[in-house]
Formats: sequence, C-alpha cells, structure tokens
Amino acid sequence: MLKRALCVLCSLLLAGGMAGCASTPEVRTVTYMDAFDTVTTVSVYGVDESAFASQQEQLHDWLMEYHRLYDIYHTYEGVNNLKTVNDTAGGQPVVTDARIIDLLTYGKHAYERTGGRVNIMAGSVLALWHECRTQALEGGAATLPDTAALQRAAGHTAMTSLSLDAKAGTVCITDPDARLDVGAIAKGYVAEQAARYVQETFGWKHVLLNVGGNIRTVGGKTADIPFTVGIQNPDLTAAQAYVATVKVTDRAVVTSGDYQRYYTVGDRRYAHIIDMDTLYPATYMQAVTVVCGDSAQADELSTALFVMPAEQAIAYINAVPDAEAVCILADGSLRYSAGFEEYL
Amino acid sequence: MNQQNHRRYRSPSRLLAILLMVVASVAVILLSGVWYNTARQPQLTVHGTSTPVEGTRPIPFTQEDAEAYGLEAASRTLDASGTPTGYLLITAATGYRSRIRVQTVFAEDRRTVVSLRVLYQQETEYLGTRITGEEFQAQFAGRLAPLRLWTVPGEGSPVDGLSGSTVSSQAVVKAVNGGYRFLQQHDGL
Repeated sequence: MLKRALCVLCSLLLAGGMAGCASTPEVRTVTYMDAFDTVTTVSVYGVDESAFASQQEQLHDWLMEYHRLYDIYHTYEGVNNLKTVNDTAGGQPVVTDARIIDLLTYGKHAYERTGGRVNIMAGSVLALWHECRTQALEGGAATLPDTAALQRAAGHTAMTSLSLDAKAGTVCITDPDARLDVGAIAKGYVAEQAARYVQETFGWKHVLLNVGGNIRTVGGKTADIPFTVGIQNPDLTAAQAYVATVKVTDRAVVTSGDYQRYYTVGDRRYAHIIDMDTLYPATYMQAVTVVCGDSAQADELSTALFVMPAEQAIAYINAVPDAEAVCILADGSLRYSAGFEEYL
Repeated sequence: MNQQNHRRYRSPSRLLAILLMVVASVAVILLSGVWYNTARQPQLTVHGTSTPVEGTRPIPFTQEDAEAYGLEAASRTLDASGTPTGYLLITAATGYRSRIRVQTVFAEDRRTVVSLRVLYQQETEYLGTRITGEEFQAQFAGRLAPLRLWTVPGEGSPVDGLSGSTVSSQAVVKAVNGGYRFLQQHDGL
C-alpha cells in the first residue's frame, strides 16, 4: 500500500514538474535604432540571458560596420564606403572592403536576373526623386523632378559603368555622372548576412530578424512552432495593422510598397520605387510581399515585382523556384502566387 | 474476517502517510501551475518609477550646450514639496527628413525615460501620423537612454514581426539621446 502510494506521489511530482516545463522558450529581443535609417529588431528563442547581453552588443557592432560601409549619404573617417565610391565617380578605382564588392557583385547579378528592373546604378535618377521628396517633406514646395533632367540622368545608369575588381579589392564608376544606390537590395542583403552571422557566431537556432521591415527567420520559434509574420496593411491608419499572416520557418519575408516612402504633389502620391521604363514611381500595386529562403533574393524580387503589372508579377514569381508572393492591388484585393497559400 | 478488519482498521501512521501524500500532491500541482504561468509571463523589467511633476526649476545651459546637444530648454522637475524628482528637457534633432522637437522627462538616474512627447515635427505624412500618436510615444516610457536597448515583448502579440513596417524614429531617438548626453556631461544640476 505504501509502495503504491509512493509510486503515485512520484508520478504526480513528475507530472507537476513537466507541466511547469512545457512552455514556449523565453524570447530575448533587442532593438537597434541607429542602423540603415530604420529600426532593426532581433528576437531570439532559447538563449541564455547573460550570454545574450554580450551577443546583442557584438551583433550591433557588426551591423554598424555594414551600416557605415553601405551608407550613400555620409562618409566615415578611415572608411571607403559607397559614398566614397560615388564621390569618386569618373576617377580612379577606390580600394574598398570586400563586403562592398560582394554587395555590388550581387547587385550586378540582380540586374541581369530581373532584366534591369533592379538597377543599383540608377542612383542619378533616384537622387532627383529623393531631392524632391525631401524638399516637400521639409516644408518646401512639393514638385516633381524635371522631365528633361530625369531623361538626362537616365543616360547615366548603365551597369557597364560599374567596374569591380575583386582581386585588387577596388570599385570604380567609370561614368562621372553615374551613381550607386543600393536601396533595392541592401537591407535584404544585410539581413541575409546577419542570419548567417548569428548562426555561425552565436549558434542561434530560432531567430526573427527584422531589418526595417525586411524579415528573415532562422528556424521557427521552436522546432515545431513556426514564426507568425504579418504583412503590413498599406492603409497605415487602419485598425488592423496587417492584411494577412504567414507562418514561416527559415524564410525571408520582404515587402515593397507605395506607402513606405512617398510624398504628395497636389492630390497624388509619389512613392519611392521608380520604374526605370517610365522614370516615374511605379503604380501597378500598393504592395507586394515575397516569401523565399534568402532575404537578399526576397528584397530583389519584391522590387522587381513591384514595377510590373500584377498579372505579370504573378507569372514572373511562379517561374522562380522556392519563392512565393502576394500582391496587394489598388482596390485592396490580393493576388497570390501558385504556392503562397501553404504559408497562410 | 481478518481481511475486513485489516481494511476497516487502518493504522494511524498509514493514514497520516496517505494524508501527507495527498497534501503534497495537491501542493505540487498547484505550484507547477503557478510556476508555469510565471514562466510564461514576459519578464519585463520596468526601470524607474513615475516621476511626479508638480513644479520645475530651470537649469542654465550655454550656447555650446544648445548646439552640441540640440538643447532648447532644461529644467529640474519637482514634487509638491519642492524635492527634485527628475529632469525635463526639450531637445531637437534633424533627422533624415525634418527637424523634430521632443520633450523628454528623465528620472533622477539621468537615464530612465519617464515620458516622451513629440512637440513638433515635419516628418512624412505616414511617419508623422505615427510618431505623434500615443502608442508610439508611450513605448519610450521606462526605456533607458541612450536608446538602444533590449526588452522582452509582451505575450499575446498576434504577430512576431511585421513585414513592410517602416517606423523610422531616427530623429526622435537623436533628440532624446541629445538630452541624455547633456545630463551625462553635467553633474550637479
């Protein structure tokens, strides 16, 4: 009798202990507000608190190196970054960090893959729009870039003017009026590098990286529970922040939208993603979200799809292996690629 | 007969053992539930306490301070008895798009942000809507300057992340951090 009672007691103790343990692992989150002109959030599951305290500092330092290298608006002492390269256009090759050459190499391939829709040498055109947008947002007159100026600038966007020498570690823009702008791929590219870095350096297995809305997940929340990622509602005043949610494990989720950076002239909104065919902001859709295994690819694809009509965009993504997309049209309706619903 | 007697007449020590076992089992089950719930609760550390502001006392600063920290006004906050409770600073910073003026109340520790209010901004339409909203400003309360820190998100959030979200609070952060740096560089205020 007593033996039986002891067995029951032990069973109850075991059950009680297991009940306390059966919960989602604790999450550690850090937010960086000083990288890439945006907010970067890193959420990690199953990591010790004291280890995370030093790891997040290390990750921040790592991110800020990329921030300084890829900055096209500011220079930093002792660093030849993308602004340095732009400022030296038409001059001698600039010795730069391998991380810049890797990004620009990726950019060259993205140009070829997307038929020129993603063009990191479009800086001279993008700069005209950036100038008008900034002027309007700072209280100045809200105007459009001069059409003739846009067309002149478009004559200086050839990818052939970007010369890379990986062996020598140099970059040269041979056209003095051409400029680099890596906005279409940089955040996604960095998010992908960050995913590799945290796995290799810290051994993190369950991570959600959010670089200014470019999301890259490593694993799921646990081995069995995926991450739930919302897709931003283009109507930023709506009560519901997201139009759909996807459940992802080891996936990148990247969105391009006309609500992200824009200004208004008259009653019309002019967004920041420029269709290089028209030299004007693309207006085919409000937003497109890409889900695939690589964040750099997702960033590239979201930009390329955004400058196409929705039906063409869906056909395009359906031809890309292991990549899915959803387009949000002007009327708010959604168009899915063939396999997108597996994520819903 | 002997068996019946055995069942009917249990020894006191056995009864006590059974009673203890039942009590211990119930206690284990209850405590496990409590521990489970505790483990699930986000361990959100709230730094500082609310700082009552019944009055203020100006803090002098120089033109160099104004330029170095974006400082436009600085005061000690006082409670009803006139005891200093913290610092109220108005700082401004030019972000990538506009100049933003921010009122920040810091706690006595000169690091904890008690409250933040965006007084003036000319940010984009979408960002302006956000940074002047209560939700955006409320998230700074309890944060430690300089604004780059880690917190544990609350439970119940419907999504783990939001793709396409564009919150860029660079200028707000710069303004708050300017005030923080002013406080760090000036003892005995």
